[in-house]
Amino acid sequence: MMRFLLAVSLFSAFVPLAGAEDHWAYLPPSEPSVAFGEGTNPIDAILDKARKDAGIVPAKQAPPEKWVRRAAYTLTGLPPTPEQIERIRSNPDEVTWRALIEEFLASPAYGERWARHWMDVARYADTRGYNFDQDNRYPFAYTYRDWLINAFNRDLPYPDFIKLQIAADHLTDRPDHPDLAALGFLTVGPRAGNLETIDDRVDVVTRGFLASTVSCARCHKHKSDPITMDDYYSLYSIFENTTEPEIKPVIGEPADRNAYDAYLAEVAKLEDTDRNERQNIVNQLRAPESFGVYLELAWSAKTEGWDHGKATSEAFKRGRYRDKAVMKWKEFLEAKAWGGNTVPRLGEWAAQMEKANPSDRIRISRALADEWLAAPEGSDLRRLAAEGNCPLNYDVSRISEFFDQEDGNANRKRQGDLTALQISHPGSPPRAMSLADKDTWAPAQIFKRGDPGNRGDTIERQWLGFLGGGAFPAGKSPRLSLAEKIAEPSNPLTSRVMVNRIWAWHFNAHLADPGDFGIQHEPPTLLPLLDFLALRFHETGGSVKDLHRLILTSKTFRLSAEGSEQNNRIDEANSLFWKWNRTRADFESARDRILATSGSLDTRRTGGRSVVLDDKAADSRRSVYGFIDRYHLAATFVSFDVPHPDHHAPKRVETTVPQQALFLLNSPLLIRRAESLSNDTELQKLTDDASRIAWIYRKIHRRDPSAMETADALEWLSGINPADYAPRLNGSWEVLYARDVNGVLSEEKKFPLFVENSWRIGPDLASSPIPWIHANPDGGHTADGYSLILRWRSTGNGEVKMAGDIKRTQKGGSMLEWNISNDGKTLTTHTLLPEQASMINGDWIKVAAGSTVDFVLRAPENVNHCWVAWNLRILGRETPDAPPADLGTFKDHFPKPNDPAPEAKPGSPWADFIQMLWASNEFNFID
Amino acid sequence: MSHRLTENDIILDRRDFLRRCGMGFGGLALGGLFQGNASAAQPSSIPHFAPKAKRVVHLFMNGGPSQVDTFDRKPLLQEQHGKPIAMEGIKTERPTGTVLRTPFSFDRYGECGLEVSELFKHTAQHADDLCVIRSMTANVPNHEPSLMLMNCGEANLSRPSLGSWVSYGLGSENENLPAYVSLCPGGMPIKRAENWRSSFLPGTFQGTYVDSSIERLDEMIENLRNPSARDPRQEKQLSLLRKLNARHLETSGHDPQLEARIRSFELAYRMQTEATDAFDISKEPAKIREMYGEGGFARQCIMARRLLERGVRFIQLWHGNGQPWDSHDDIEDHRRLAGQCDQAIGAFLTDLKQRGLLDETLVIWGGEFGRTPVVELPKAGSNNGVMKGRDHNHYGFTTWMAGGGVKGGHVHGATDEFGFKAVEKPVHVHDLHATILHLLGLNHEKLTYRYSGRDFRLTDVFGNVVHDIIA
Repeated sequence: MMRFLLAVSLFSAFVPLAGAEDHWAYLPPSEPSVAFGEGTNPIDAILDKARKDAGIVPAKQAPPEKWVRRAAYTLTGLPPTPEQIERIRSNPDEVTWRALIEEFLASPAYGERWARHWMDVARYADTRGYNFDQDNRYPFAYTYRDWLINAFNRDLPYPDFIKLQIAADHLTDRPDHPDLAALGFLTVGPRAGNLETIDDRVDVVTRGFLASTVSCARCHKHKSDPITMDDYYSLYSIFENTTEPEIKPVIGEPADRNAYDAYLAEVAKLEDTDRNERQNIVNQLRAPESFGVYLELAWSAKTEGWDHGKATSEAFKRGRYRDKAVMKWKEFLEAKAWGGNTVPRLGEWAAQMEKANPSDRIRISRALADEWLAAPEGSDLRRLAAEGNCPLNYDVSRISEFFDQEDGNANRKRQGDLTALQISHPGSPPRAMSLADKDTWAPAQIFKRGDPGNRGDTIERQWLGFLGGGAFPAGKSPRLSLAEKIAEPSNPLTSRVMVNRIWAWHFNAHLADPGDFGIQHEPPTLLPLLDFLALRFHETGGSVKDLHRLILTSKTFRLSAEGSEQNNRIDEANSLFWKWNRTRADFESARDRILATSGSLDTRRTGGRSVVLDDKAADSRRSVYGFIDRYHLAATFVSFDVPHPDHHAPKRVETTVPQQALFLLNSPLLIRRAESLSNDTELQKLTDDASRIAWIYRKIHRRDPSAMETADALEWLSGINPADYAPRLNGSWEVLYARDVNGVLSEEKKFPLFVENSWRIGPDLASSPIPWIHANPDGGHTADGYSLILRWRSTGNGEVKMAGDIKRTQKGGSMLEWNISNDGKTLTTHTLLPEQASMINGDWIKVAAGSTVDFVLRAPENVNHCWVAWNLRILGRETPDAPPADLGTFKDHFPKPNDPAPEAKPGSPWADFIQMLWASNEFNFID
Repeated sequence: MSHRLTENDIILDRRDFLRRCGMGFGGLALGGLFQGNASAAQPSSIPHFAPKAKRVVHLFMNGGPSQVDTFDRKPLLQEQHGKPIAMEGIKTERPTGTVLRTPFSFDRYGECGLEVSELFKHTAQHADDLCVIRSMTANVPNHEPSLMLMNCGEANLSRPSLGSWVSYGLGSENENLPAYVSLCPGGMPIKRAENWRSSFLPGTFQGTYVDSSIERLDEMIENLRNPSARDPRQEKQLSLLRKLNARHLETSGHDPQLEARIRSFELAYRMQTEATDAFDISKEPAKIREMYGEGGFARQCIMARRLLERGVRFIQLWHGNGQPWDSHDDIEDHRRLAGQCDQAIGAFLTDLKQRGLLDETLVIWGGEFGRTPVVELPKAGSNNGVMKGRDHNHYGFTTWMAGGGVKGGHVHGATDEFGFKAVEKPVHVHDLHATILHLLGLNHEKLTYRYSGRDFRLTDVFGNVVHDIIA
C-alpha cells in the first residue's frame, strides 16, 4: 500500500515539476553578476546597471533633510524631531546619516511601526468574528502584537521569528515563556468553524512566509503550481492536531504592581468560593447522614432500574442529592453488592435492604455508611473507599463530574466572572494565545474534493513536494519540523519573500508579487536585486535591521521624487527605482503623525491592551494599539485601506476616496487635536501672527514657513470674519424652582437633592418640605405656591425656539398653567387641564450668550394629580435665514450633579489653520 | 476573454488607478479602470453585453419570510392541517410536526391572476410587474450561512458581497454618493457588516451602512456634516487648503496622486450637501410620504428612491434589526411584519413606475430562505409554549423581482404540493446571482478578481443564468 501511494504522489509531483523545475522562485538565489567596488552600495550598483541598460539616468539626490523625513517615516512612522533635521542639515555627511539611522532603529517606535506591517501579513484582529451572542473578543491578542513589537526592536533573527510563530511551544523551556505569545500568528485568525480555522492557518503560514498559495490545493491539485493535495493535507493535518488551552498561560506580570495585587486578591476570592462550593459537595458525599441517603438511593436505582432522569427526580425528593453521584454509586456497587464479585458486607447490606420495610432502608444504609467511614486499615470497605471510581474517593478536583444543573450554572457563572476579570481587570497579567500538539495524533488524510465527509487514503505528513518534499521525521512534532523547513537557509522562497516585503515597506513598491511566487509569475525584472538582498539576509542570520542599514545608506533611498520626462517615457511606473516613490502616509502613521505633532502622543509607553481609537483617551496611543474588530471593522479603517483581517494581506490597496477627506475635515479627532494645539501656551504667548504661523509650521511640518507661505497665511487670516468664530449657538439645561405668588416668581433656587435620577427637595417626595416638587428627564411635578422651571441657557448668539409636547397621564386632578419665558419675561401662558396634552411650539427668540429660555410649570389652584410628562427640545439658528438645527432635548441633556459648567468657547481660526496643515498634501505625502 | 483586476494592477497601474479612483465613493469601477489604459492586458468590454438594468434594490426580509403565507399558495395546507406528511430527505433545523394551515387569505391580482396573500395586498397591485420565482433553494436551514450565501455567494468563507461585485464591475453613476448603500432601520441584521462586506476587494466597494431611523442627517454617515447648517468656516478652510496644496504642487511638480487627493476634498465638500440632500425625506411632498405610509421601512423606501434618482448603483433595504421575519412561534407575526413594509413596497413600485425608473431598476424581494409548511414543535428555550409557527426552510422558497428586464406577471418554477421543496425548475442562490449580474450586463463567469493566486468570482464555480425570466 505504501509503495503504491508513494508512486502516485511521486507521479503527481513529477508532472507539474516538469514545468516548474526551473521556475525562478524555486531555485536558490544566485549572486548577482554585477561587481561592486569598495564604497559602493550593492543596491545602487545593481540598480545602476539595470537603469543603464534601460537608458535611464537616476534622479538627483534629494536634500538631506528629506532623507531624515523618509527615514523617520519608514523606520518609525513618526515625524523626525526638529533637532534631527537640523543635525543632518548642518552635517550632511555619511557619518551623521548613519548615526541618525541608528537612532531611529534604536527607538521603540521602530518596533511599533514594523510590527504593524507584519500584522497585515498575520491578519491580526482583536476579535474572532461573528460569534452569535457570545463575547467575540480575543482579550490576549495584544500579547502577540506586543511580541512582534519586541521581536522587531530586538532584531530577532528571521529564522527564529518564523520558528517561534509556528512552534514556540516546542522551542521554549518554561510554561510562562514570553515567546509563547508568538503563537498568536496562528491563533488570532478568523474562526468560521473548525475546518476553516485550520485552512486559515495553512494559508497564513504558506502565503505569509512562502508567498505560495498552498490552500488552492484543498479540493484538487493546484491549477498552475506544483502543489499537490498531499502537500495541503500534510499541513492541514499538522494544524488539525493542535489544541488551544482553555486557560491561556500567563507570560509575565503587569507593570502596575498595585493593580496586579488587586487582581490577585479578586481571583483568590473567586477561587475560594469555587473551592468551598466543591468542598460542600465532597462533604455531602462523605458525611455519614448524607452518605446513607446516597447508598439508599443507589440501592433503589439498582432495584428499580432508574435512568438519569428518574435519579434526578428521586434524589431531589430527598433534598439536593446529585443524581450523577447516585448513578456512580449504583455503578460502583453493582458487582460488589449484587453478585459477580460480591464483597461480603455489601452483599449482606443488599440482602437486608431487599427484605426491609421501605421505612427502614435509610437506617440500614446509614449503618453501612457509619461502618464504612470507620472501617479499619486493611478491611474490605477501606480498600474499596480507596478505589479511584468510588464516590468516596472524589475530591474537589474531580467533583465537577457530579455537578447537577444548578452546580453547573453556578460554576459557569464563576468561570465567567474569572474570565471577565482576566479580560478586563487592569491588573490582569498578559497571557499567550498559545497552542499545543494534541496528545495523540489523528492520521493525515486527504479530503476528496475538499469534502471532509469524503476521506481519502491516509498519507504521511510531508514537507512541501515542490520544495524538496520528504516525510517529516518521526519523534519530533511535525509542526516544529515544518517551521524548521521554512526557516532553513536552503529554502529558496523564505528569504526572498521577506526581503521583497521589506523592500516594499521602504519604497512602496515590490520587486515581485508579494502574494504569489508561483509558476504564473515571470521572473521579476530586478531578480538580481531580490536575490542579492535574500543572500545578504542569510549572511546576517536574518537581521532585518541590517537590511534597513543597507537600504537606507543606498543612494537609491535618497533619490529625489522628481525625475526627467525622458525617464518617464521609458519607465513611467518607476520599476527601476530611478526616483523616490512619493508615498502617502498609511492610516496608522497619518494618525500617529497628527497626534505626535499635536503633542498628545505618549511615545514612552509601548505595549498593552488594545484601545478603541475613537476614544479621546486613545489620543495618547499609537494606532498600532487600536482595537481591531474583525466582525465590524471600523469605518475609518475601511476608508483608509487598512486591510480586512479576515485574510492575510500581502500588501495594501491604495485608494483616494472622499471619506478620507471627510475624516480630515470633520472627524472629532482632528477637531479635538486642532483645538488643543491652538490652545498651547507657547503659541498663546506669541504676540504677532507671523511668529504664530512660524510656530505652527515648525510644530507640524518641522520646518519654517517660506516668506511666501507666511504671506499666504497672513492673507488668509486677514480674510477671517470674526463673527464666524463667535461662540457657536448652543446651550445647557438647568432645573430650578421659585416662590410663586399669583404668577409672580421670587427666590429662584436650585434643587438641593438629586436622587433616583430626579431633582427634589427631600428624599421622600410626599414628606418633603415642599411636597411633590421634582423633575426627572421624562417629567415632573410642581408644588403649591411654587413654580417648577426648566431653563435653557444659551452659550452663543442667534435665535432659538422651544418645541415639543407635554402630557398629563393621571386621572383627574387640578388645572395647571405653563408658560415660556425669556430672560425672566413671560411670553405666552397656557393652561393644561387634567388628562390633556399640549403641543409646545414657541416663537423664535433672539438670544446672546447667557440668555435664558424657561419652561415654567405652575399650579394656580392646587396640586392634585399634577404629574406632567414632557418632551422638550430647543431648535436654533445662527441667523434668521439659516435652516433650524436641533440643539437637543431636555431628556438628552438632562443636567446631573457635577456636570461641568457649560462654557461658551469661541472658535479659533488658528485651530482651523492647524487642521488644514494636517489635511495638506505636504503633511500626508512622504516626498 | 475574462476581465479581471488584480491586486497587482492596483499597484502597477497606480497612477491610472489614482487618477480614476479619486472620482468618488465608488468611482473606481472595473470598466473605468481599464478605459484608455494602454498598459492593461485586456481591452475593456464592461459591460459584457447590453444591460437591462442599471441599478438594483434588494428588499431584504431578513429572518426568512414564509412562502406559503405570501406568494406561494398551497390549498392542500388547509385540507391537511394537523396531519403528518412524508418528508423524504428533508431535515429541518428544529423539530417540526404536522401540516400547519395558513391563517391568511389569498386573492388573484392583475391580468396575470397572480395569487398573493392578504399580507402583500399593496405589493400585489403590481402583480403584472412581478416575476415570482417560487423555486428558490439554498444550502442549509440556518440564518448565518444562508445570509452569507444570499449576500456573498458563499456560506462560510469571507467573500465580497453581491453589491460589492456590482460596484466593482460598474462603479457609481454619481461621484458624490456611495455606489452601494445598505439601509436598515434601528440597527443591523444578524452578521452585521459582513452582509455588505467587500472582503478582499478594495474597501471602497464595501456597502455604506446607514441607519435609516436616524433623523439627523449629519449623523447618518460618519464624519458627514451638512455644510448648509453650518457657519462658513469650512469653506474658508478649504480655500486655505487649496492654497497650501497649490504651493506644494509648485515645488513637487505634476503628480496625479497629489491632484487626486486635492480633488477628493472638493468632492467631499460637495458630497456633504448631496448626501444629506439625498437622505432628506422631509423634502418629499406630503402626498408622497402619505403614499408610502408610516414607519422605518417606509422612510427607507423613500430614501432608496431618492438615492436611485441620484444614480446609486446598489441599495439594500433590510427589514430591521436582527432577524424580524423569523416567525418560529406564531406565523401570525407575519401580519405585523408585512404591515410594516407592504404599503411602502407597493408605493415604492408605483413611485418608480411613475418616474420611469422601474425599467432600469431591478427590484428584488426575499429573505435568506423560506419557512416550513409544517408546524415547528416547541423545544426548551424557544417557542414560548406557542405552537403556531414555522421553522426555517431552504429546500424551497420564494423570491420575486420586478423591473430591470425581468418578465412581469410571470411565475417561474414551483414547490411541491405542500410548498416544502422546489420541484420544478429549481433556482439556486448562485443562479439568482448569475441572473442578477446578467441583467446588469455582466457575465458572472467573467467578472473576476485575482486574489491569492486565483481568479475569484461571485458564483465561484456555480451559477446558471435563468433565461426564462428575462423579458
